[in-house]
Amino acid sequence: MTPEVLLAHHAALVAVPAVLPAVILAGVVLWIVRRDRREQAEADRPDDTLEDR
Amino acid sequence: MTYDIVAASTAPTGGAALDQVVGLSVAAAVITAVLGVLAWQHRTHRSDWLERVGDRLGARMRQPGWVAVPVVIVGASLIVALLGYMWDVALHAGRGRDEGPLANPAHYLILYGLFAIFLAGMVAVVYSRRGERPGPAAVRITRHWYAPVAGLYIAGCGLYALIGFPLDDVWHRLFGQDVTLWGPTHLMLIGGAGLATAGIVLLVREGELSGQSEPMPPRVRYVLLSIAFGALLIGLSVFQGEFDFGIAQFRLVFAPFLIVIAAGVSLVAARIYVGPGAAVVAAVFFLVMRGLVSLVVGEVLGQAHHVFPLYLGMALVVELVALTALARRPLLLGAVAGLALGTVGLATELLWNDRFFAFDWTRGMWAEGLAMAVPTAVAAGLCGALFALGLQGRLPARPVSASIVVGSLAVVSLGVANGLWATVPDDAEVAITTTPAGTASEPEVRVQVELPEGLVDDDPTWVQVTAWQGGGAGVVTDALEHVGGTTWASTRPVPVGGTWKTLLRVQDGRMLTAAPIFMPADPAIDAEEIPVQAEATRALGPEIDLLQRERTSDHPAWTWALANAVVLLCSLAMIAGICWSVGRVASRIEGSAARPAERVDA
Repeated sequence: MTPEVLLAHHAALVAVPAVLPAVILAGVVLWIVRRDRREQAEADRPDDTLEDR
Repeated sequence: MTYDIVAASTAPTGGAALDQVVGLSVAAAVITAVLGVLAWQHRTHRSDWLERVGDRLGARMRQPGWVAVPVVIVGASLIVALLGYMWDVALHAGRGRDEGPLANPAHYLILYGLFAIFLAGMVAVVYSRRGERPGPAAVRITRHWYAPVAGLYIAGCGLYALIGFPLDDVWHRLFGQDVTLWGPTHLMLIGGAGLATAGIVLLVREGELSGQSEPMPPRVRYVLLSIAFGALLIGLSVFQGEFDFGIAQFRLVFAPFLIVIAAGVSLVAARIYVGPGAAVVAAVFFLVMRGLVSLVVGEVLGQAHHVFPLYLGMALVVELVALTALARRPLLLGAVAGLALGTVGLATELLWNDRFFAFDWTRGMWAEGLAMAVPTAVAAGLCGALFALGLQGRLPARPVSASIVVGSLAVVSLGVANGLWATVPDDAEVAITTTPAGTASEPEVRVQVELPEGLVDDDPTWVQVTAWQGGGAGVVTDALEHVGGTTWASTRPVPVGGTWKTLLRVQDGRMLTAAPIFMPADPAIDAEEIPVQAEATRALGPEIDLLQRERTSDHPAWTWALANAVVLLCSLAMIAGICWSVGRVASRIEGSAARPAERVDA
């Protein structure tokens, strides 16, 4: 029973299939938000409410 | 031989590692594509299955689909994440650091749980179509797409926690592997998951306000919400993990401090928002879930045993205070309940702690413990009341709410700073005498120590021997008996040899120190064995050198400060996120009750 252990190597690799999709999907939503805001600004018609942030 | 393995495995360009990277990247791409396409199909009306599932679940649960589906996902996965987390801590306590990225099965459960939290939030975000607003506090994504604010918050919690995973790896590469729960990246992982539970309570509220489903039957609503606050209690109690396992690497005054934070926020909020008895139901739910997890980790999986706070006395204290006329003044109720939690409530926890936890809350720590816990309990009770009032749409004036939140953060920060302030005696040495016990294959020793004169008073917080990371059997602790003078002796044999790390630990007031009894050789970090000796004089040094032997210090100090600052900022952002979300819901409720035109956006 030698302690053939690694120093670091936590779980970065295993985490890839969960972390990457989450980051990408969140990024896509943010991109859609920006695109919509830009289109709206171009349409130059302010919304009638203050609903958005 | 060990050197070779370490060198080969840590080299980033091994063939096997490359295979893994490719395989896992493909998996990531597939998952991203599948989820992305499903969301796109749903939003563009190319598929209706999500709506059908939502309708069916929603009809049964009397919730809109964008509440029912995420609640079911979170309900099914948070328990998995909790189990994974406790199992993980147990594995580290029993075995030490991981033997590689795939070696720790608990990580899969945690990863699944965190991803499910993110997914639940995203389902709430993408669910509503046709420009429909999911509740009055919905946030505009595009001109035709609105998301419940709690959905965004839950997805944010999941994302924050998930990012903690790779950051954890970076952290360990920079600073070495710190086998403590309170590493900043570990706090990201557990904090994100823990705070997501508050989002669930808020999401259910948004569903009610939307009027998109029949109201829940009162009894069902009562039970569901009480359970949700029980989940919040579990979520806020994850920070106490080291005490639960008897391997606290910080001063014991943190234990009551953390308990009153969790109890103050969740139990007070449950009582005010859900009604009489809800705090007790929440505490019972906590006990059932934590009991089950403890049973599975300790008995079924055979890993290190752990305990948990009782909270039942705490819940009764809150219920009793709420029986008085204070019930009509929620903020005052929160403050008084907090005060009661920090005193009477802690007394009930003291009895439970001294009966079941590894280390007693000795009289010597009472004064400081109360000085930390009482103001914190009042702050936590106030925050709990504020949360409930926000859900009910009766928040006090903005300056009052803001002062409570900022003041509470200040009180908690002061408490944490005071708790972390520990000292190490100068040039102190301890004489350790060991007597062999146990067998040749499982050696154990009895220990007698001669502490330096004046190191501890008559009532030290602890003089104890801890043996851990011995390979699965868990953590063995023994509170030493005061034989007389400066002599302390063990009450039971403790394991040594193999991979056990066996040390003497002393805490009295601010002083926190340790000396090794046995430490195995660890070529991976260039550490030599510290053998067991019949008689030895050993230096009393900082605990961290022994408990977190793997930590490296060969990095510039600013990197450590910067990394901590980033995690601190993210944590504050999480708290700001829940405050903003609750404030938004509250202002919409108030707005719909009063004149909507005058209100400014939260």
